[in-house]
Amino acid sequence: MKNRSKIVAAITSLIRKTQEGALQWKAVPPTGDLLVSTNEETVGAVYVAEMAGRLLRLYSYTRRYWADESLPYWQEHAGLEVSDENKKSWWRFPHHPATADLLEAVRYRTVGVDQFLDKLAAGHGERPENQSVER
Amino acid sequence: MLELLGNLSSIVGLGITVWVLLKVRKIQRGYLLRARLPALGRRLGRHRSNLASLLDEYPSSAREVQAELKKCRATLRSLRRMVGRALGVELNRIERRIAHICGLSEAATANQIWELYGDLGGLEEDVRNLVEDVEWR
Repeated sequence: MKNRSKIVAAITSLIRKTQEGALQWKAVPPTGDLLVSTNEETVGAVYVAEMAGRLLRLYSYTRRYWADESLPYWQEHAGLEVSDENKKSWWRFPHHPATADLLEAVRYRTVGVDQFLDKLAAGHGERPENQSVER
Repeated sequence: MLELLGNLSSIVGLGITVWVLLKVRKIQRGYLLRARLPALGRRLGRHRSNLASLLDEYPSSAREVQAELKKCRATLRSLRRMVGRALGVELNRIERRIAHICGLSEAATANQIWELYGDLGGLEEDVRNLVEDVEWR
């Protein structure tokens, strides 16, 4: 692919910016074409971020494959798109496995795993000693 | 006359033996590519992915990065035996880069590791294309 190295470099840069906190993503409900789910493909979480006057849209989608005629299995992928300057039409990045790393980094940030782990470590997640467990 | 015929038969026999030997090697290599290449491609992807996670905590994860790079180097060596010359050149370049990073007396900069991450991403795509080519051979 002619632009392959550019694509990989762009995704790498997005992961780095996300990890360093220079690019902020937020989870949004699926809209537009991402709302369409089929038996073959369903869209999961969607995240958007703004960069250089354009929107970036990152989402997970699960696609059905067939191991053989009667044995389907589902596999999760990540899709990345960039909008035009009017934020109305989208260009989808060619599929590359590094997009899954970007999705992982974005999930880690948006879910706030670090803060949650810090709270757990500090004991905020513990149940008070005198509180009984309802069954 | 019979002696000449005998000599000719020997030469033709030798030729056929060499031809069969080459064919067997080609089939053997084909099987090896079909069986091992996809698994090595996936392993390469795992190294790349692990590197991205470790970079999130770099430089405190420098030791883990070094360990991952050493595993990645072993995977590249296994791949080297299966790919052609063009991809081999790229593979050697990346392996040299890893050797350089692993040989540094101080921890490599995050930039160096990120560049390597990009290289591994490109290589993974090349290997994936090769896997698809092999399926059609």
